[in-house]
Amino acid sequence: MKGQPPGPAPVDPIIHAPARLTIMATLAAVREADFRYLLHVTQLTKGNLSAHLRKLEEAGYVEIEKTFRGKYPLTICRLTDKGRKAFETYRRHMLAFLERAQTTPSEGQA
Amino acid sequence: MANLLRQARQRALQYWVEDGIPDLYTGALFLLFAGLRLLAQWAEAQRQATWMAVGFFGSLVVILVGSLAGRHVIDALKQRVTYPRTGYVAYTPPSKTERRKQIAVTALLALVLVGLVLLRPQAPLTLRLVVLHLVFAFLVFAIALQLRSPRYFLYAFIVPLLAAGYLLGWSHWSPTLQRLMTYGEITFLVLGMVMTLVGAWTLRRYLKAHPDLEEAEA
Repeated sequence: MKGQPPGPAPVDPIIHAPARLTIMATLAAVREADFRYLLHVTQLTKGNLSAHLRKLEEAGYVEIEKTFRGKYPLTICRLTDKGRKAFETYRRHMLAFLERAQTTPSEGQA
Repeated sequence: MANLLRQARQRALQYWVEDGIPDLYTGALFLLFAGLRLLAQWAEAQRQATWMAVGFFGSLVVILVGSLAGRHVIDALKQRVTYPRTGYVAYTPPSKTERRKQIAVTALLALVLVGLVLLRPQAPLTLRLVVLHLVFAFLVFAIALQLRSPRYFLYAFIVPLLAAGYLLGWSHWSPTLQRLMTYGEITFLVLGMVMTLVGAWTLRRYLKAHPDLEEAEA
């Protein structure tokens, strides 16, 4: 490995977008969270967060449950098993890629 | 990458104390506990058996029930105050390694306390004061470290500070006061007051920052 260029990072494009990566990391750290908490933590707009969640849901990474608490609508989001595995794989690949990038001598130095 | 996940975990943990409700609850619990312990001490001096029993058993019930029901009570309060404002989050249960660590630390602390009780007739009051306050400060410090919350570091700092204060003026205190200082009644009273006040201030700030209940969702 040493001395070879690190090559392109083998990333999952669904997770790789910064907003979706933040959503995935937030949900990976908890059992479940509602839409409002994700808004509070990610600082995205409602429309933006909705769009990213929809994309993650379509990929089967996030499960969304719409319910009510009293008169307030409650949108609970949680990672599916597939989502957790995909996030873990993404994390491993990125860490390995960054490690390779660190050990690869930069151009002109080799 | 690892940082991102760690930050997300940290953020979720800090969210639990962001509104000040846990501080308020714990502060009120400590105040009640200290009040009942003081009642028991007073009743003992006055030879009032009934009030002594109320104070003694009451303080045990308060600390046991208060600790066991704490999470549910705080969660019920958050459902009314916090979740409609800044959202709801459910935490992942601790991993096996985390649970083992918690059990080991608890067992060690329990061992220290049991040792202290067994040594009670021989151990000088000042030694008991130091050990009890260090054990308690260690527990609060461990919580503060986990939450990375400046408020909880302050609470952890108050305990040894109080113990140092008691020891500095030790010869000036009456025997009754020395006992109250040693077994924590005064410490719980002071810490309870600080936590209640800081918790109320934090809650006020939180409500000011998030005044409205939001209804619209995606």
